Amino acid sequence: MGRLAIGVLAAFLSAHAVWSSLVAYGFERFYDHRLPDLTKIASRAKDWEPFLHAFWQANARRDLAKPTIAFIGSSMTYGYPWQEPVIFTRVFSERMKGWNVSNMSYYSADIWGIREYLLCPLVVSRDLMPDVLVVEIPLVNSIRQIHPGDAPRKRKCMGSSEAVLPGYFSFVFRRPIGTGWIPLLWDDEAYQKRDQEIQITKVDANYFASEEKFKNIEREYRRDLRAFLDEIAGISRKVFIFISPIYLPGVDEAGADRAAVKRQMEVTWDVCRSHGAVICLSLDEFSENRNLFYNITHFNQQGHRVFGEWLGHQISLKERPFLN
Amino acid sequence: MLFNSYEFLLLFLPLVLAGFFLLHQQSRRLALAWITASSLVFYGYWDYRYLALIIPSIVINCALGYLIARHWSRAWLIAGVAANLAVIGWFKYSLFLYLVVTNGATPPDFLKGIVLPLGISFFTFQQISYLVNVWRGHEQPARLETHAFIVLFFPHLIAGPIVLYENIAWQVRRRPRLAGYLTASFKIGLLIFAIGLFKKVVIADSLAPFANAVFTYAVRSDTVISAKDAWLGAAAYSLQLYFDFSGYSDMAIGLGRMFGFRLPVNFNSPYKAANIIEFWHRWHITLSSFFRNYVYIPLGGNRRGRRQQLAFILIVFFLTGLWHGAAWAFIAWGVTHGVLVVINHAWSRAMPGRLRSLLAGSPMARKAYNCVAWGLTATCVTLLWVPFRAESLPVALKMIGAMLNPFVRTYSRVFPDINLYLVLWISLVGLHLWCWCAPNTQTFVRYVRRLRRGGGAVIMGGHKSDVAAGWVYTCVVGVALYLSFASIGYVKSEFIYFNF
Repeated sequence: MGRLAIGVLAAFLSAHAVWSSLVAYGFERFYDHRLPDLTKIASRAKDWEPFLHAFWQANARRDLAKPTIAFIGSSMTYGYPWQEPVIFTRVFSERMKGWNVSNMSYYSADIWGIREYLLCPLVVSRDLMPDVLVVEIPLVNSIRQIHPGDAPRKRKCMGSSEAVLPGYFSFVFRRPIGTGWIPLLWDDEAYQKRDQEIQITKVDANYFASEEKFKNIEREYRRDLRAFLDEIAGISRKVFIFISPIYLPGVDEAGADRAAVKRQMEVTWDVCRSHGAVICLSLDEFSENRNLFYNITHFNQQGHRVFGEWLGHQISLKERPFLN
Repeated sequence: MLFNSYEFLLLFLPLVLAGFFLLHQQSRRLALAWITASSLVFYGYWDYRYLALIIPSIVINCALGYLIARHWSRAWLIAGVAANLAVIGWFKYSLFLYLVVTNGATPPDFLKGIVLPLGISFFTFQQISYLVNVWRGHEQPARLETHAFIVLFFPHLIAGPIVLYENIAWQVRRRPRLAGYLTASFKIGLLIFAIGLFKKVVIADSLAPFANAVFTYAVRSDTVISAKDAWLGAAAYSLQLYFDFSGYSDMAIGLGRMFGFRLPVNFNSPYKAANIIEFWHRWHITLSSFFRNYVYIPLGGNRRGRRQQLAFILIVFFLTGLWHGAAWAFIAWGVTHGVLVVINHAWSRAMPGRLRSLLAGSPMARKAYNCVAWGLTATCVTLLWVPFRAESLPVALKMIGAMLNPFVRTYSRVFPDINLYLVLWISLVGLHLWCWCAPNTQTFVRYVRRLRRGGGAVIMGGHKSDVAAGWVYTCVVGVALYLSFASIGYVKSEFIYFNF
């Protein structure tokens, strides 16, 4: 019986190691540009940060000779609802062939979520700092999450119990969920979709902050946004910022207050411009172009294509000395 | 407590096993009493109030056994069977009957509030078989502790296999004489259990989301479902059900073997069947045996002429459908299977002589015939799982309508990701081929045992075949247990047959 127990235990552990290697290989093979949908991972507190670290390590080390650029943002930068090959970060990567491009974004991210989860892997792995960082400020998500009188929030990197920063294998090996990895490995948005014209539906009353609500939180928003930019500025040699694009004429159609949203964009722009250490990119020329949007807060495929080209142009202009 | 839960696998089972093996060294009676007590905990874990049903049921049936044996009276037998049927009728069929009789009137609250006690269909049938066997003189009336053990033995208590008295009573009364029997039995049991757990957790539970998505989509009144989607849902469900239920049966049989008991085999590669009669000889064998022994043969079987035999077959399949649940969809499923069995009987008699002699004379023709027969059987069985799974009969008809109209251009896409369709079809075809070609659990276990007995060259201090058997055994058990254990943490689902 003793030999049986030892044999079964050895087979059990070997199976775990082999399965973990297969899953880790799957992540490395299939997610060489964009993160998997992080919202499928149940525990944000325990799992997101180490997983992001594994992703960043795998992607940044893919080709150490190339300069690295990391895109960080919410569903817009993630490319909702499009397949990865058509989103702007991929268009950008096609244009900038000599770069190692990673898209680290997740659905419904706000500036605190970005600080808490997405920035940590970059902060912790100092030896693998991105050469260029492009950050979307998720305006709508962030303003929705702030309340009058909120105290400043602090970031806690590696707040989880993982003592050693893991790669994919280590991450998977410590989380024995068997077939539970398969849905995570499957990219739900990977299939080919036709481009679509804009669809505007009525939004929930709290989707955009009203003028009055924003007035009450403007001070806290400015403070937190500045803190956010301070932190980002220290992570990379060059940081580009853009505010989530919003199709402004559609805001009225969706039953919200266009003037209030415009004001929020102006405040965000103002904070960004007044920050000396980041480069702010204005997306004003996109905000009125109906043909580029899928809904009022996300680009369609044409929008991604145009934006990717535009971004490539902007960054190569400002990065010319480095590229040479 | 589910077999596929950590509380069962890491707490309940090790405790019961340890207690059993320790007590067995002192007294077998004590060891069996320990299992009986543990089984009560196992059953009461879901809802302790169910104990108030199962304990009196055991005591009363035990007493009825004595009364029937003492008076040799048909009246006591009828009373006993009627009492058991009344209990199951009340819990399982009263609401359905009320709706049928009143033509769908709103039922009173006390009828709506009836909750089906777990395993009632299984332990009621087992006890009916006990009473009948005592009356027939095939069984001596059992002592209460023996009867309680046989009914409560937790591996088969909730979802079968339906263990008839003749299957297990002799094992309870006889102490294993061979030295090391229990250890050897435990090892085999662990292998069978691991395979069953793998079938349930890794295969059946992975298929469930796809089958569920299609059947949920079909429920929506504003949707049209395409043939492709409907076939995909039906094929996924047919595999899910097979791996779920045969996985559960394997686990039950494996657990039985861990304690030194052999429970009857419930599945014998049903999807290898080349006709519907053969299918029923391979699918849920213990239920088919029950109806054959306690309904079909007592009605007259094939002794009263052709027409009546066919009528008895229809009655048996009507009852099979009804046993699965109080709903028209189950009845339709059962009766349609009955009709197919009747057609199968008719075909085997009416098969043209030339075809018969061609099949007898040419192996190629025989193979081709079997292939066509297998395809036809698989298609019918898959189609008929639709009413078995669908929410209602109209939904089932909608799905079947779509499946039978493959050339009608309807556009539905339950899964927006078209890449998923390719992966799903490859997986489903692969699994069907596996069901068709691969050895089933009992064949595989026999293979491992034969390997061990095979002898051969001596290497590393042991026989070559022993080493090979050891490797195969530990690898299968280790891998199956690992993937199942790990996946349980991610998804935990009940067995489909818990609903019956």
